[in-house]
Amino acid sequence: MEALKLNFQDKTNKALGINEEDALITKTYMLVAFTALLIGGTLGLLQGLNRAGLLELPVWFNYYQVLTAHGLLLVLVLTAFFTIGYFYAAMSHSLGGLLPKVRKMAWIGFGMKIVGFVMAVIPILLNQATVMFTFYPPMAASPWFYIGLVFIVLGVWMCAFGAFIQVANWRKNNKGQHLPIISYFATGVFVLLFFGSVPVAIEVLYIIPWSIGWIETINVMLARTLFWAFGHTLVNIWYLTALSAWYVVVPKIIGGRRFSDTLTRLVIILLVIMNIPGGFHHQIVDPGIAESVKYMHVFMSLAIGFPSLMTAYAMFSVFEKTARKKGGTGIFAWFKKLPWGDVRFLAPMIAMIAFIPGGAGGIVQSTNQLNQVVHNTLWVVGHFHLTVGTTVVLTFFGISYWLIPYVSKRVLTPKINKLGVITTLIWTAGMSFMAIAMHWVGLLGSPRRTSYTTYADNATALSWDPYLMFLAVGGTLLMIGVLLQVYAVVHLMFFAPKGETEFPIADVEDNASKTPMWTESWGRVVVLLLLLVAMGYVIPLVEFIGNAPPGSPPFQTW
Amino acid sequence: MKKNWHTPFALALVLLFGLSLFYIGTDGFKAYTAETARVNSLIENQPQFPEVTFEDSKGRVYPVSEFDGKYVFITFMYTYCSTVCPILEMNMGQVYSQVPEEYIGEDIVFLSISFDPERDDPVTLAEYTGHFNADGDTWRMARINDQEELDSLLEEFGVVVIPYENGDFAHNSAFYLVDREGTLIDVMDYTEIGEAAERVNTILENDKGE
Amino acid sequence: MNQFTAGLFLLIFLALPPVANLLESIMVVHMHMQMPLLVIAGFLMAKLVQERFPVFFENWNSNGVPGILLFIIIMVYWMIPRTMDEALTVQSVAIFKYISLPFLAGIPLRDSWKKLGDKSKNALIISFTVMFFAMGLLYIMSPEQLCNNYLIIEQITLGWGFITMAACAVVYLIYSAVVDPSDYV
Repeated sequence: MEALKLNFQDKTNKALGINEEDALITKTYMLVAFTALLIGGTLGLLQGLNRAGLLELPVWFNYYQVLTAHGLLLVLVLTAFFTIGYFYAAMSHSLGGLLPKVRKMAWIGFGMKIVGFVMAVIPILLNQATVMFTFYPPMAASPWFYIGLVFIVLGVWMCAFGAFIQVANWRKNNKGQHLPIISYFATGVFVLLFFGSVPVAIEVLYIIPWSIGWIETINVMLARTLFWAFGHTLVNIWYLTALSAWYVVVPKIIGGRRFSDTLTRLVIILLVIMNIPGGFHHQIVDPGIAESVKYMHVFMSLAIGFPSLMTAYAMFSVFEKTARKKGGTGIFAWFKKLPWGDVRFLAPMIAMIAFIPGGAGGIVQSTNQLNQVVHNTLWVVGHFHLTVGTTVVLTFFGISYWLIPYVSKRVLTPKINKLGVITTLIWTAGMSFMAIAMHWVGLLGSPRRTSYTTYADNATALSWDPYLMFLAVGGTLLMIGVLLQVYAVVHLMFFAPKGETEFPIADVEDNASKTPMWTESWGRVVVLLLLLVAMGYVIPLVEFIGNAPPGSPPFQTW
Repeated sequence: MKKNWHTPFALALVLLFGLSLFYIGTDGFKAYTAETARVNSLIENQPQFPEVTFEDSKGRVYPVSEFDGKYVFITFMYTYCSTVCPILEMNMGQVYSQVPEEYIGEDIVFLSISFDPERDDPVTLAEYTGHFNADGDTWRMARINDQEELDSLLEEFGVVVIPYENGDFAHNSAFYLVDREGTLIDVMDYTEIGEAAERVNTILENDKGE
Repeated sequence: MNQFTAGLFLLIFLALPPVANLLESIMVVHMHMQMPLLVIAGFLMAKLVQERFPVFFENWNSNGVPGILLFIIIMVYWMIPRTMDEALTVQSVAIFKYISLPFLAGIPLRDSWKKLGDKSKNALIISFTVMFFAMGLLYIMSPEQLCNNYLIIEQITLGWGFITMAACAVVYLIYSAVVDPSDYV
């Protein structure tokens, strides 16, 4: 009976589109996400202009404050809110509507994140939390900043648990069936969000009494390690979110079928299991970790490249198959048959292409010797503007052109589609200018996280200037992109013509082999994840705690 | 139904294999760490003190035959060591003070051998003797300059020295007792001072009695 | 690539001197990565061996007990501090390691695991969990250096490695006790 009812609900859901209450959640999350893009993007432009030497920032809102806020808004708010809003819509669609309980949890989580965010932003504006977004000791912000972060983490956990309840409920009512692929991605993302934010929660709980002054010193290496266990996982959560669109949505948009279901699920499992110890490659030049341990960790990090290569193969296989069905020929000529004029395809496609140099650069900088050359230079900034700023963000943009009409029950008009294509191209151009210049000038030694300076007219520092000019050019283009994108989002949410938009989920091939049931065993996946985390972290943690150097008191460098 | 005799037989075989594996692997359930095994085999095999040349804290250079006819109570250390060596030497000093004065210098000599000849020159060693009130004659501190000779001694007496960062060494520590003929006759726990002193005194008394 | 080739490849890879040196240079990696990987190599190779000699396994390991006992013996043997040391310093012991773990632990594990009932499986996991906790405490608390080839700090690390692995096993046991898979699948 229960199952029947659910089945019915499932069908109405698919026929009538998302229900109003679920839609409201996603709409609200999306509004916050794109507001963050607007403000964060503007701050990005200010930084670009400053680095080019064109703009002197006022004392009451200096470069480092701008940088902290830019980072927080874009790497935390934009991504977290977008990811959660997107996957909640996906679960609502594929799992027969959200449970009332889960809906409530999404709202509580939303409230906690907003409260936390406000608590974190006020000290930044007051110049009391200018620690930049990799908040590690001994730089200490106002305790409120960290308390705000705790609330954000708790809000994220609330949403993660909501997702787990939703998924468990569905599985109970649909025995013997595979979790729909898009919700499978959601489960992977929320598992990672939960376990990945545990280390940062520990770190922040350790920092708070220290920043208040209850404990005098802090173990810097320990805090940094905990930070990166979270930091790198976060990056891969965005990546996994982008992957979900590549594997599931893009094939539908180009009118094809998606790649092997088993392989897709295997990629998700591998990414979930291998991710958290990956954070170590951010600490390659850190002291206190034996070289052999670093070597093994880099090996481990690069293992994540394996599922990425599988993805690259899968995507291009889908493209070629679909294009050939539409009459594409030749070795490369079939490329023309792909729907390049459709922003829902174009944006994620460019995102994928950008991941080729992005991933290659990542491999380069996780090599010990090469990392020593580029560590803390603008190269690294260029790297994550390519991976996060291009690959992830463009995929998010691509998603927004169907997700927002889907939740607002409107349609994507050809005009907005065209606007989207233009936005994508401007964004690509802007990021190319910026990322290439950053990589290059980073190799020449220009440091990151440094306000504009000529180092007393030092010749080397002056030689960076021409490249830094590109940061301003790129930043300006990106600002135009941000404005267009935000306009499109607002338009699609409130003003576009009413109508039905589907949630595009591609089918598997007709002759696809059955997916084995072991892929559904999330308990085992989590145990393996924990085992790998335990193995990865036991060596450095015992070393840092057992042979702890004298702790550091808090410092305010600004 | 025919009873399968293979399985119980296999079980017995596996058990027997396991038992013998553990028996052999632990020298008859006696040595579960390599250190115990090492000490046990040293006591059993009684290796000879190899030919080496010492240079001591007073700058004197002499071969091992210098100690012919005397018992030698030995530790292995290096002066830069900040962890176990000071304790080792302090404990050695306590054993020294518990041996009756009549034997000291006559029947037994105390010798601390440094395995860090590069830094432990006579001046450094002399300073180190001062820390433990060693007189430099009946309790000598010396280095072995020839790396090959040093290695052969360490190898012979089973001393494992692993250099690691900051010029420190990880090493195992014990009291070694060599008899009048230069044969290693006992390896003792350096933390059991009373036990070691008693053992030394008994040996010396028995020797006198003969 | 079939499982046997994968297993053999893994075994050869682990036996390559640079790989072996790197893994053996860190105590916890030696015990908790190299050794389990050797078992896994055997586990993978087991399939072909089972297919080749079905009668042997049927006769001599009909209920899985002799096989699992052999597995336990080999595993426990390699947990003795002394064997860790000798695997580095005594060549015959080193060779024995590369033979015993894949062939005397990995292969019997695979053959026995399917033959054991749920209760025996859980009993096995529980006893290894308890043993890991005990070994962990031993390595953490021991005031003296148990292995001459490894520093005390590495010994403590190994102890925590044991404890964290045991904790993961506890998570698994709780999970399998609380969650009934037939509710979902």
